Amino acid sequence: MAALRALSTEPGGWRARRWRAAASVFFVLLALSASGLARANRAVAPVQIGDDLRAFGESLVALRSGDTGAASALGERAARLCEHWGRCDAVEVARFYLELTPDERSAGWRAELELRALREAVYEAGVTGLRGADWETEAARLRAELESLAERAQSQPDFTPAAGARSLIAVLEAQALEAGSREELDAKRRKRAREQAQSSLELYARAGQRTPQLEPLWALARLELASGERDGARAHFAECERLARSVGRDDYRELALQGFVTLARLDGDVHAQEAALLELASFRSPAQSWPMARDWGARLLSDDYAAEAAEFLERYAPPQDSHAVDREEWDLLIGSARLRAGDSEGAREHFERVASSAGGELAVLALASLALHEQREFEALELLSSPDRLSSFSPLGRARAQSLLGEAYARTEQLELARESLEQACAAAATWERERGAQFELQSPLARAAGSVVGERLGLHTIALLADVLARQGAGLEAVRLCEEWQSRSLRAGAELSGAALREWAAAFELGLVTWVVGADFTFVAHLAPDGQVSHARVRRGRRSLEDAVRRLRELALAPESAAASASPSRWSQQARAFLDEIVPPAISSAMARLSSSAGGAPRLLLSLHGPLESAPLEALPWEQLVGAEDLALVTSIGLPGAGVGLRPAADALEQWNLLGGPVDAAGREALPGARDELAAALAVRPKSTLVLGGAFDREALLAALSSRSPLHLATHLNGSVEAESERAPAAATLTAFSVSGGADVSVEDVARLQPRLPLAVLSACWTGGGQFVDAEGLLGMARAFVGAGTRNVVVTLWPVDDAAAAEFGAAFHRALHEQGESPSAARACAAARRRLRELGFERSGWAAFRLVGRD
Amino acid sequence: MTDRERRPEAAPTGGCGRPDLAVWLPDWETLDEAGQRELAQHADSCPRCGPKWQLVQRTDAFLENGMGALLTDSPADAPALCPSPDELYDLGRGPGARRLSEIERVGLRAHVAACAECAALIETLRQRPPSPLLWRNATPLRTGISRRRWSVWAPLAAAAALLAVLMWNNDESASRAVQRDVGVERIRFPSAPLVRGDAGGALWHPRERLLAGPRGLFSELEFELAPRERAQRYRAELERHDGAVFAQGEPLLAVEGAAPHLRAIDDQARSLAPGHYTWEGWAEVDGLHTPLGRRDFEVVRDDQLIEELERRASAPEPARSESILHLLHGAGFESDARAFARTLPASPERDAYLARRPVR
Repeated sequence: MAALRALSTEPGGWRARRWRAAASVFFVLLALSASGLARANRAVAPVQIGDDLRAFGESLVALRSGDTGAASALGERAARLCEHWGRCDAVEVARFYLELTPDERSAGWRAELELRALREAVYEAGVTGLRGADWETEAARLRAELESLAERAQSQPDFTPAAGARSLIAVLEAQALEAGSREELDAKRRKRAREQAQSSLELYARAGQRTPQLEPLWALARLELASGERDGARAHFAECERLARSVGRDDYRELALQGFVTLARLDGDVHAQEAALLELASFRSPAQSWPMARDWGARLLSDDYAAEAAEFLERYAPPQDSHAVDREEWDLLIGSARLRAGDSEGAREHFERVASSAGGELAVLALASLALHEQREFEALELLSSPDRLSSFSPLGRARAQSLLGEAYARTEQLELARESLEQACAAAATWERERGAQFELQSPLARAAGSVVGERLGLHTIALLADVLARQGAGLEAVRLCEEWQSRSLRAGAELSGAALREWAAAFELGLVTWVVGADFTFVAHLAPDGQVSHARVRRGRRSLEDAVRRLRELALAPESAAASASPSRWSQQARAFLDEIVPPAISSAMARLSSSAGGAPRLLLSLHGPLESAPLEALPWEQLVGAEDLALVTSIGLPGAGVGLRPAADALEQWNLLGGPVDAAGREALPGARDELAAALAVRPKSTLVLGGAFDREALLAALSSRSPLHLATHLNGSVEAESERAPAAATLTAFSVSGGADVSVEDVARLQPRLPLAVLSACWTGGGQFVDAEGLLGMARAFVGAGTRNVVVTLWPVDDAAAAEFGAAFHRALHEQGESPSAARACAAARRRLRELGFERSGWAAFRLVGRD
Repeated sequence: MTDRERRPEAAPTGGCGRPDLAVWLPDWETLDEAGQRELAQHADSCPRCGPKWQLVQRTDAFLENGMGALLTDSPADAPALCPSPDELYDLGRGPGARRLSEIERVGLRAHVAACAECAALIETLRQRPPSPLLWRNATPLRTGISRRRWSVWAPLAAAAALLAVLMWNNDESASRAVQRDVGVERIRFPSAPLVRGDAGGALWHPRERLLAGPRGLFSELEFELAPRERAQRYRAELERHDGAVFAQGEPLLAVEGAAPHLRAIDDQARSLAPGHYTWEGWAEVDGLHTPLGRRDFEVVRDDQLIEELERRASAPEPARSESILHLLHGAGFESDARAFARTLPASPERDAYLARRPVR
């Protein structure tokens, strides 16, 4: 098990992934070792490459082994490959060997046979699964022989065996780096390994050989991945994938895509991971590729489809005669799926098998998770609390163990020990995040590509546990700080959030602020009053339960309200209240009600939304019943930006607007009649504004408006089907984008690049508050692009909004904002406009769609 | 003996310039290749045989590909308006008849009220038609036709053949005239509100409300999902719950199929009790099981609405279809309205209506 543990200590071996649902089975992620040499080597088996290619290869072997009569056939077959298959590299290969003398070819062939024997030995070691000291001895011998061969062959006219030898050396070094810690392979040796791969690539290129370059490319990518050079690894995996595709080598294409999967996992980027897996599935079935089946099964499990994950993994189990590591991974993963699905007995069977066969930290963590699941906390503590035992764990394993320990201590009311353990787990996450390098990706050209180390690798379950422990210990402010500190981290670009800053936020709103951490099995909620008092509660709903409730509530909010079309008009009222009572328990609501009774008119409440709550139709909920204020104005944030709450802009900063929208198609037809009315109404209130409509509303006009410092009102379509090439995934990414006239668009990437720092933006389009969900970060979309860039307030929509309702809302919002005088509150204007729409008879789907996101 | 020499004994050939070829229409596939080609060439230029040739080709396609191909390939002007014999039989409630949904019954009754031939057939269809079937005005279907697929598709063949008979003889009938008057192009389909964007998700229908009457669901339970690129299979799983916002459902049934349109046709599906349901969609994409999301709907029993729909079912077309559609839509039964629209003859308007996907 030592080698297996060793695999888990290096980056390539960290099989961490999103673990929203089942933090308790996190250990399984340690076991997923896609980059191990054994599996990789087996994957490089020859593939069918077509009759012509085979015939060419036979002629080439014949020529190199001394049959000069094969020369003409070789030339013909190369020409045919070029003509019929576009494989003109064959012509280059043929030319290289035909230009050699028979003696030169003969010398090269002898070296080639030597290389073949060594290659076979390398791969044989992978297949038989040599581990530990046996493998290290064998690897050292092979490396020495390969180096000798490379030296001898390099100076020969046929130098291609040297290229092969250098490539194999790089493969061996990559494996050594993956199997050990980075420090074990000193920098000089790592540099040398990369040079071997580069040299191999150059030699093959000189010989006009493309296909053999796949191996050194793949080795180079692995070396860089194992050295923590992720950008380099990404580039070389991409090059390997492209080359493999062009020469029809699905085996290397698979390896390159697995590299992308590993990279995405390390980045916490589940979307890139999914894209790579789907690309892989386009030519490999899960039955053919256990790594793919494993990764997809883990993905289902991390999304809390435990029963489906178990079923999928059962169907695509690695064969009984497969490598022991594969079987161990399978046992851990399917055991975890069964545990999460509530089948402890099924889980135990798999975990005990791992414990008896492999042992080590993975087995210990598995059994501790099982004990916690079965409420045998003391047994879990016994398994994990020995310092000696933890010291032998990998860093990730230790972190996981600390999280499990923290949970066990918390359940047994040993709060101080719980706090200590959970804080150590968080500290480990912070370290991973630092190691990740470019950790705050929101400002990257491709905003959707951002990942979350906290969400995907530590798990919000740990944060929720620690917040709860802190609050129970009386450290309420620290609990609130923890909730905010560990979520939406990209908004603060890594800057810490102090308790004092947090109190400033709360003091800026009459009813203070509320924040949540939605863990796998429960949610922690806390209210920070303007005077610094903290109320908190533990809500029994976990992530999956809240996600489903939010979905249900959204559907209810969008359902027709008319008596004729609604069987039970009271259902909304009942369910909306039930939802509100659940996410704002009495401990919180009573504190807010007390504040409300002493607050003046139109009190404001800041809701810092995280997880599934960001999509909830909160503006439609009966807050007035809870808080007692009819004219409550909600301000929602998607995390707290690093700039702090700051000062509200004065009225004159909101005089000159950029009013843009009403796109027309190529034929000049207006797509949204309501957009014109909406902007005209805004102009009537703000006569100093600039109105850009119809054909003039083009890409340049919108980009210019985003670059200005004037408030922006945008009335157009938002579509989610714009594709952009991503460096982070082999497949094109889908971005949301505003439609402008002439069939063009302005994507979230454009917005992120321009960094709009506007006092206020009204984004009156389809679901501008939506986006791609990243755990612990939130919805990465237009709202976050604006807020992250520094725009103070954004009015967004929660779903595709009726054109007519949007037009009316825009007019009402501007009037309400204008009527407030010197220090207008966008939140109050937004609330007033929603009320106006209700008065006008718009249904909930119309008025409740509009939300203010920001600082007010 | 050539194919021509063993021609069928009698067949409807009036008005055709090549009656010697026309008689082979019902048995075209027993002709040799040259004979089939000659028949096809003749049919292309013969106004009498042309539609019949198309009909037998479509019937053949049906036998080859199942009912789906026949329905989806139906041209707008094809004489496909009479219900299938099976449907008529089910309406007549003969022994072993399938239990019809409310929407089917409404549609069928309305048709039969206007179609004397179908009304007459209802009487004759009290018993299941024997197989092989007798072709009216034609020779008996010869048992010598023994292509394997006929045995595989025997029950469907029976239905298709009788459907062919009905359509074959419909072109001068009163019902045909009535059906022409349906004038689907004159039906005004419900319009959709103009919204800014599209975020309807992958689970299209059912949504919001499904209508139920005393005999169960008004429409068949059909799950419509957004097609997913490279998906080999789709699956819908249905659970029932109490309607609370945090409710957990109890699994009820699951349907699978190769197309993103799944029909649950068993009695359990047909008799869904009034209440709240959640369905979950899955696609198998290149072997990877991919969740598509979850969606709720409510089964609402509304006897008054059912009665109203039945009243309107006896109105003349196109008012009948239009009013039924709008009544369902107005009452929030959009999924039922779509199911009803699917029973209407194809037209650009109908197809545009059916192609419309939910945007939120």
